[in-house]
Amino acid sequence: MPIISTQGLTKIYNERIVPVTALNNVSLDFDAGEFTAIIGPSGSGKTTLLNMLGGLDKPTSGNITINGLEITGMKENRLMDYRLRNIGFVFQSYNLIPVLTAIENVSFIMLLQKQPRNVIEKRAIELLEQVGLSDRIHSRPGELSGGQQQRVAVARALASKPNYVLADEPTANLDTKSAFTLLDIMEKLNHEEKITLIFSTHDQRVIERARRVITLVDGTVTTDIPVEKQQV
Amino acid sequence: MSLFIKMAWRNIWRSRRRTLITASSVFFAVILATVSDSMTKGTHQLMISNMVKYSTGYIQLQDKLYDEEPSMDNTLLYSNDIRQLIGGHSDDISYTVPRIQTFMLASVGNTTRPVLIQGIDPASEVRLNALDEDLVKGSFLEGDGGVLISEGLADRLKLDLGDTLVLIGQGFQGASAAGLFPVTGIVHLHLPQLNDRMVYLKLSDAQLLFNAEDRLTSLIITPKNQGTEVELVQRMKAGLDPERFNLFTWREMMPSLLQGLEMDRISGKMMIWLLYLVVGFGILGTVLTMLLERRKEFGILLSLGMKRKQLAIVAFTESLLISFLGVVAGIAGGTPLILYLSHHPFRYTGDVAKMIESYGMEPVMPFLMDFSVFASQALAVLVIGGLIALYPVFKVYRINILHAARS
Ligand SMILES: Nc1ncnc2c1ncn2[C@@H]1O[C@H](COP(=O)(O)OP(=O)(O)OP(=O)(O)O)[C@@H](O)[C@H]1O
Ligand SMILES: [Mg+2]
Repeated sequence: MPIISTQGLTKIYNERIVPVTALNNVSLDFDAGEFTAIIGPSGSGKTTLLNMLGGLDKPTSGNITINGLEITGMKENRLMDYRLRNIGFVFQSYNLIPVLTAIENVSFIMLLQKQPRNVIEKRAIELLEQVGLSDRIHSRPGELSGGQQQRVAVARALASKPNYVLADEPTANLDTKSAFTLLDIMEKLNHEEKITLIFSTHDQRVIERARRVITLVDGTVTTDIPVEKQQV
Repeated sequence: MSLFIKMAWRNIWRSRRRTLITASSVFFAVILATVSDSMTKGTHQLMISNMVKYSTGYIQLQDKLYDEEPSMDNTLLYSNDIRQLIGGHSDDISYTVPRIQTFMLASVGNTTRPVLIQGIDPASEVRLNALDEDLVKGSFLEGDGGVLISEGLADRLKLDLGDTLVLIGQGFQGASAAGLFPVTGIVHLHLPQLNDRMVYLKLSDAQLLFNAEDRLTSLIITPKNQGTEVELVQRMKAGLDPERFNLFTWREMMPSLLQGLEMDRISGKMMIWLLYLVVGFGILGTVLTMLLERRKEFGILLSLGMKRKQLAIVAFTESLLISFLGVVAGIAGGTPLILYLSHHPFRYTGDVAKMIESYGMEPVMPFLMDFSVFASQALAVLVIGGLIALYPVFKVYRINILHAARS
């Protein structure tokens, strides 16, 4: 049984004079433990889809079910709570909180969840170690390189042990070396913590590592290839 | 909670210069407001206290008719009944000050001036106003038959110690009152309008002059505890014939002064509020800029799962913190300043002093060092800062997460 499924997901932006159909009747199922890339040309609806899956935005029609729970009709407060507990985000532009240090950024969501202090600290240090930043835990984002910031962002997304992590072009701003480090980390977490990872990307290096590749063109799914099975 | 305060604290230091400028505008406003408020309160307190000391006392017992027609004929007989009444309230009354006063003509050579004659009991009078400490020359009504005159009057009549003053007027029940009195002392009075025309005699000398044995124009009653005048008067009235006697508290005896001070207080308050209005706009400007710069960040925080309420707390704390810093600094800076000024009141000299005296005020600018001065300014600024800080709260509740996060 899929942990996330969308039925007839459609998003039309009405903000301009001409309405833009960013997603058009997208129906997808995601299983637990997936490591999936969403690819497609610029403007094809990747960010829109991830935003919908993460409950950051509401579809025009269609619905999203997560663990059998429909999130489309949820009230903002409940949805936020749900998001806090179940979904981790990695944004294309890191989006770390500038006034907090690396360890505070990673702890942030756990603090919002009111987890016990000692648990938070242990987990945050552990995660920063995993992303290879144990020597920079007290640095603020402004003192970190782009790649380091993105690794903190990944650690933050994983901190609350979400069921799935949505990452919007996580490697877009990284050099090759950092991109591979980040991918290694993501894969490792996917293996070890059984976290479902869904990410959008333009990056061929990333696509090669994915075990399922979904292609969007003009808001429609054109191909959906489980790479593993191909390789077998 | 501590996380939010930590964030708010660090946030205000992100634009260090802006925070410092805004907080210092609050700082200067608080200093200015406390100094001006302390001056207003200090001046008012001094004027009231001078009035109480030299003129009205805290409570006055008078003959009923004296209030309508303040003449010698309407004086009060200081009878045993009255002594008993005072004795009956000895738990609440500290001491009494008997006075007999009227206007007379004073002449020296061919200059004649109307003067205010006051017959006083030196011992009890000084308890009320320490008049002896303001003695400029001579002695304080030590022997019999001499007069103590105010400095201003001495100047106008060109009188000095040993000179003789002729007093002419009316005594009790139509008796004419006239006498020659040597000047035995000159005293400086803190009420300029009295300083120009005051002549003190011993009570017994005055009663003799007016042919008014045992009579007083008023008996001043000083309560043991300040602020209990009204209740004391209420209780004493129970034992007094309302047809024959009047009991007044100091408030009832200086209505026009109190009204004038109230007007002054209100206009001072308005100036202060105007100042705060200007400062308030400064804070508002800072808060608006902050909101503009941080729109995206707010969106991100909300999309990370921060509740609007939590973000609102951070935004509110951060906005209020700037005013709070200014207030704390203002109080820290204002306290020693006002403390110093309250011990070293500013004294005017020369023409300015003359001008102020001509308005009937003492040419001194006292400052009141009182907790209320700081408390009211601190509260005012924090209320303004708090109201302004509500705006980001409102904004946080209205922000569209997705739009903000992508802006
Ligand atoms: N808030 C919005 N208002 C109006 N139109 C929007 C909005 N967000 C996205 N769109 C439009 O929807 C379409 C899909 O946008 P989306 O951001 O999902 O594309 P994308 O695949 O993530 O592109 P990229 O690879 O460049 O990030 C685009 O045509 C875009 O212009
Ligand atoms: Mg995108």
